[in-house]
Amino acid sequence: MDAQDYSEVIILAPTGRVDHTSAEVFQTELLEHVTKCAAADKHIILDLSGIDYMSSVGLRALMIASKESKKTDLTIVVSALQPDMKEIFEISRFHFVFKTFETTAEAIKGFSDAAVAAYAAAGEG
Amino acid sequence: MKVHFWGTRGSLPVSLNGDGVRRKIFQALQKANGKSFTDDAAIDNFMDTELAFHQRGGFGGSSSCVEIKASDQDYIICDMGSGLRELGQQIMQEHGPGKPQVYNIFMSHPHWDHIMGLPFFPPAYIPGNKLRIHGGHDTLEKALRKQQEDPCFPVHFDFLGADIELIKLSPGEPFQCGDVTVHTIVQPHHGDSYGYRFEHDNKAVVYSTDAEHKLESETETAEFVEFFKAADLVIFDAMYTMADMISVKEDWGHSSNIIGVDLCHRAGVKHYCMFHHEPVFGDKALADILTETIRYEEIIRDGHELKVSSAYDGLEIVI
Repeated sequence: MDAQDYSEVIILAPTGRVDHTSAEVFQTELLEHVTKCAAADKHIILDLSGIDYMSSVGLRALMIASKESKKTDLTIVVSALQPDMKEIFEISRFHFVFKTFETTAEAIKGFSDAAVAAYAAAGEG
Repeated sequence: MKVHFWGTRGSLPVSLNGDGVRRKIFQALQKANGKSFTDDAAIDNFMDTELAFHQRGGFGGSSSCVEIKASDQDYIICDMGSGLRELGQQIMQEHGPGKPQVYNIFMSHPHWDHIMGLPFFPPAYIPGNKLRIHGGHDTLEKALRKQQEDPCFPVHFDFLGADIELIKLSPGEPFQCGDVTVHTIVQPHHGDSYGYRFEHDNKAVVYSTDAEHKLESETETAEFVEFFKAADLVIFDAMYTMADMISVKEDWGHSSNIIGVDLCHRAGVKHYCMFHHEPVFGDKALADILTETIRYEEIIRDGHELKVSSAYDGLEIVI
């Protein structure tokens, strides 16, 4: 799972399909980042533009990450859902679980100026 | 095989109230505005073609009771929720009191919404009838007796005139019910529940309600995939949305609509039927959930097409 650091924000960008064959690895990596970010006072933008499909077992991993984040001050938001994934979020009601943004550039605006600047400096803004 | 749904609601029977009826009439009149009908058939045709299912009908509100008809053999009934009352009335009309029948009843578990129909099942009061109540719980007889004790109900269990036999089933050991082979599986629910797979004439129907598939263990999930494998129909506890099931309603003992799709897809099931509907959902909400679930199946489909439906009181599915 690709992870990029922009000031107090980590952008995680998993790719592929998350189903029963891949969900365990996805969950393990995601929770490792949640633990690290909570310890480092960082927040997570989960850029799901590279995910074209996620089954219920993948959604469960997201819910566990959400629950873990609520034990700390960690914020997790979701960005750049592909159309099918956007529908899956709505059907599963996960759009009520996570704040979602159309793009990662929009999502990062909710954090500090330093994070926005770092993101722009990296040519992503 | 034929499967007739007599009760499809979870946890508690519900009834459409006056406001709900009024809304349906209002929507029908809105659609009919300006139209004229030459005869009754034209009205029926209008309702069938221009009104949505939730406008012209609905899902009903009786709690779990499903009849499985295989050839001409004795009755097979899954659970004795409030839907059993209407089945009993239909049986009385068909057979009357003087023609003894055998009722093979398979109990998912003894929670109230699954047993409350028995005191209102006329055949249970008629000597000569046989009720063979199958289940995996040691507490089943206790539950059936207690619901008919003072101060809960005026007619005690011992007053039931039929010959009632309780048969304990063991998961993993196939059970022969006439020419139907029944397989049993333990399911995750408060106090456990039991799912059943009925096989007859190269067809298979799975009745799997009141099961919370948490997806924590691939071993446990794979066990259900195997139990559902290549079934012609899987009747599945799809009570909650995915987010509700694993957050505010975690450990409430039920699964979600999309978990059912995923399990059935993995198992190569032909037809997935959502069951044990949340009592707070009205007909429109349940219809919307069905539309969404069909769409989810389309999104995740990987070659194998799975038919998706939602059970309603009175539905009959021919396998």
